[in-house]
Amino acid sequence: MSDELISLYIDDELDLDGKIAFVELIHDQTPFKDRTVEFLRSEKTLRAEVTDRVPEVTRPRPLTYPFRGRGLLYSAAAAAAVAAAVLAVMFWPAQKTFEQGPAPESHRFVIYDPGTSSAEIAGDFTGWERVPMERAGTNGYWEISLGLRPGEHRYVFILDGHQRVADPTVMVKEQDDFGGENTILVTGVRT
Amino acid sequence: MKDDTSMFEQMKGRVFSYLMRRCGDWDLSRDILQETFARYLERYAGKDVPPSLLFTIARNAFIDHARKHRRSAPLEGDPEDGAPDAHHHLLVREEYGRVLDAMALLSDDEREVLSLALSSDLSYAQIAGVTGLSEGNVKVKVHRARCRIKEILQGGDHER
Repeated sequence: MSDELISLYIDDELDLDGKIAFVELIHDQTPFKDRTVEFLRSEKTLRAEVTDRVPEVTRPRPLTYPFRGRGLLYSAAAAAAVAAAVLAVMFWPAQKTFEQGPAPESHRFVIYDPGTSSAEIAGDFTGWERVPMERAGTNGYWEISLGLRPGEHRYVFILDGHQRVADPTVMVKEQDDFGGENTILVTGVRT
Repeated sequence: MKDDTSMFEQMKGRVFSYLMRRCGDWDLSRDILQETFARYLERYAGKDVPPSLLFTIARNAFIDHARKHRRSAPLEGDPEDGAPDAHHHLLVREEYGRVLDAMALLSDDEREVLSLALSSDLSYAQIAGVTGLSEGNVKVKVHRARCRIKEILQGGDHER
């Protein structure tokens, strides 16, 4: 256990009691002091600069992601595209295509929750904008059909306006950046 | 209007160092740094977010890359996908190549937490938040990784 104090010391994770214990060990036990120095020398090597050159990053071009949030502020054309997407959401109740590109294929998303008063979907194919789903009959199913380009897509359902739910019918999921889960769907992949 | 890139600009050196220590490949680290920037702009631009979020995004982007790589080339069967393998690249400092060699011999978990501890300036609690591990687990893994890499750098163990 005492050796773990060395890492806690290096990473500035010791509370006051830990600092007292650490200093006492350094004074009382020469081998512990020697090991601490060894770790510190090793740490100098580990923390040295990896590279002389950190690469520049560039803003993604709006044309690459016409309906995603990445470039929306950067051109009037992108703004017009957003307006078109919003209109599409409002006036295309049956099927909506959010992404440009060849041959989008219709995909039907379904979630079962008889207790919810609203269901929405947000994903990379909607620019992570929420799109309302529609009740499918009266037995608790909600559905929407969207046109998706072939490839890998991430999405999540939002129930009652706030509850994020991964698609229970798709096995592949990933953690999102806030500890929730997104579903990963692969469509139209041909090998 | 709030500058939506200043936080990223401030942190990108640390994020890049984390990626380099994580995967050892300058070109791949550059690509994932770019993807991290894009995801940050897409979802969080102009919002007050903690710096640890950038490491979460970078980590997720790296995991996505590793998953896609495995999916697209299953027959290559590279169990060390994402492990350091490009340390001879001219852009890596010569003296750091042996450190990346040593980090390649760590387990994926150990390399993950040690890369964050060395590069991010995050606390163990924040590293736990990024990795999904408990704080106690982070503490144990960081120390274990330090012991192992010290041993490797001292020439005591090159076996896995």
